[in-house]
Amino acid sequence: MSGIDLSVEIAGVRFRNPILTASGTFGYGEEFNDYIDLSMLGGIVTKSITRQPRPGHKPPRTCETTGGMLNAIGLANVGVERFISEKIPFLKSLDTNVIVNVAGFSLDEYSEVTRMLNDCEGIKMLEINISCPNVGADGLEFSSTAQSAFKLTDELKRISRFPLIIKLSPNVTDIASIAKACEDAGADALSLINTLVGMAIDHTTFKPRLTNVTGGLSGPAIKPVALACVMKVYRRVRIPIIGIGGIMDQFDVAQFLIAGATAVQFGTANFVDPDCTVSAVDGLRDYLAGMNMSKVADLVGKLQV
Amino acid sequence: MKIHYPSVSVERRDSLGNGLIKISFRSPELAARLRPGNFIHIRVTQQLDPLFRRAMSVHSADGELFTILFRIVGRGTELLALLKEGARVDILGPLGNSFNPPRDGETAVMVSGGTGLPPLHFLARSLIRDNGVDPETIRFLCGISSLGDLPLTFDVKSLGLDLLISSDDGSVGVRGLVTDLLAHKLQNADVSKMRVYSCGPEPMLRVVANMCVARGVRCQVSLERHMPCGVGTCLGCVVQSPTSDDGFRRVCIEGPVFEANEVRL
Repeated sequence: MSGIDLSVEIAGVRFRNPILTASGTFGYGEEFNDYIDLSMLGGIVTKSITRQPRPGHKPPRTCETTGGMLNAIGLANVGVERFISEKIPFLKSLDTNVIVNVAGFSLDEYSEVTRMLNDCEGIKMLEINISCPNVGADGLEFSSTAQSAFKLTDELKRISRFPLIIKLSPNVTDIASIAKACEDAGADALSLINTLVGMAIDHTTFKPRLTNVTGGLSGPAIKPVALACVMKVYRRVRIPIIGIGGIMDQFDVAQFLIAGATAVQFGTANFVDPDCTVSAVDGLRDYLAGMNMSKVADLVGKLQV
Repeated sequence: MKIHYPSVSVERRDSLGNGLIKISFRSPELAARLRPGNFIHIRVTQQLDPLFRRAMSVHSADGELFTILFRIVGRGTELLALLKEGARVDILGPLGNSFNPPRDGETAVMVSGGTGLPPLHFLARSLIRDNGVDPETIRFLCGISSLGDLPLTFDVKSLGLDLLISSDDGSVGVRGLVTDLLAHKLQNADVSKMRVYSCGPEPMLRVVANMCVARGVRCQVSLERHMPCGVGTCLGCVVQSPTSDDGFRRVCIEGPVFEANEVRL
C-alpha cells in the first residue's frame, strides 16, 4: 500500500494528499492541533479574514437540519492585523499547506487584506470568499454575476503574490459561467460550493431558528448539489477545482474527484468528528488499493456517462 | 490531548419515568478524567441524521463508570434513550471547564432547575467524596415541575445533604419556583461565606445570576446550548458576554461554567 500516491498539484503547489479543511470549520488551525496531527492533511484553510475584526451575529447562530446544519456565524474573525500578528506565527510552524481565506464588503477591502497578507511567510495560497450568504447583499454581490466575479478576480490577481482560489456560491443561476469568468480573469483555481441559503422555523413560536433569519446550509444534505456543480464547472474550465459540500469520508472524496475536483475540503464533518480528515486520508489509500489504482490524481474527472 | 473515545460500552440503562433516562458508561480512563461541570459529546447514531453529537453534562463519575441523566426531548435524546446494555457509543470528552470548589469555610448552595441537576449532583458528590466536605453543610435547592420528576432527585437525596425541593404545582415540596427558595436562603445569610452553583433553564439562571450579583454572592452558572462541534471551532454555541473582547464567549470551551457576571443571559 506504500506504493500509493495521494499527492496532487494545484497552481504549482504540491499537496501530500487531496484532503483539506474548509474555511469556517477549522478555526485558525490551532483549535484542532491538540486533537489531530495537522501534518497528515493536504492543507488547511483558515476562517475568513476581513479588514476589521468582526464579532459575528447574535446567537442562535447554528441550527441542525435534516442531514445537515444552518449557520449564520457572520464571518466572526479577529481581523487581518491580529491575524497576522497572532495567528500567522503558529500557521507558519505547520508542516502542511496553509491557505488563508479572505472576505470583504467592497473591492477595496478585499484588495487591502490581500495586500497586507503579501508580506506574510507561511501562506501557500489565498482563497477568496466571494460567496458568504450571511452578510447581507454586499457579500454575495461578487459571486452573483460573471462581471463582478471577473472584476474582483482580475483586481486581486494584480495584487496578490500568492496563487488565488476563488470560492464560488451555489446561490446563482449558472455557476459554470461565473467559474469561467474567474478563469478568464486569471484565477488559479476554484473551490465550490459555499453554503446554500436556507432557513428553519419554529412552528410553536413562529420565529426563525436563527437570529439572522436565514443561514447557510451545509453537511451531507447538500452533497448532491455540490457534486453536480463540480461536474458542470469541470466541463467548462481548465483550472483545478477543489470540491466542497457534505464530504464525510473517503468515498465522498472519491466521488468529488470523479466529478472533476482535484482536491476537496472537509467542512461540517469536522464538527461531527474532529479526526474525520485524518481517517479519510487512511481510508482513501485503502479505497485506491481496493480499486487497483496507485495514484489518486487518476480519479480526477473520470466520470463515466 | 485525547478526547475521542470511539467505542464506549453502555453498562446500564434505567428509565426513571416521565421521559427521564439514566445511562452509565464503562470507560476507566474517561471516568477518571471527568470533573464536575465537564460535559461529553455523544454520537447518537452512526448514520448521518441526526448529524451532530449531543452535549450531555455528567451526573457522576466513579471508578470505571460515568453516568448521564437526561430527558427525552427530541430526535437525538430519543435515540440515546434506546441504547441497550452492552451497546457501543462514540464519545468526545472530557469537554469544557469545571466548577471552582468552595473555599474553606464557604457553604456551597446548589440551585437546580429540572434536568439541570446532573452537574450539580456531580459537584456535590465530588465535594463530599473527594474534598471531604461535610454533606450537611451543602444546601441543595431543587426545582422540578411536579411529583413525576421526583426521581431526578433520588441520587441527590442519597448523598445525605440538605435537600429542599420546590415544584411548580406544589405536588411535592414547596409550591413555587426554586428561585424563591434561593431568595429565602439569601435573606439574613452571611453571603460572604456562601458560594452558589446553578444549572437549569435560562430564565431561571438569569434570576439566580441577577440575585447573586445584586447581593454580592459568588455564583457560577452552567449553561446549555446546542453545540455542533463542542471543541471551540464552529462558534455556534456562543453566549453574550460583557467581559469578552468581541462580546461573546463559547459555551463549549470557555464554559459551560461561567461566573454569573461574565455572561448576559
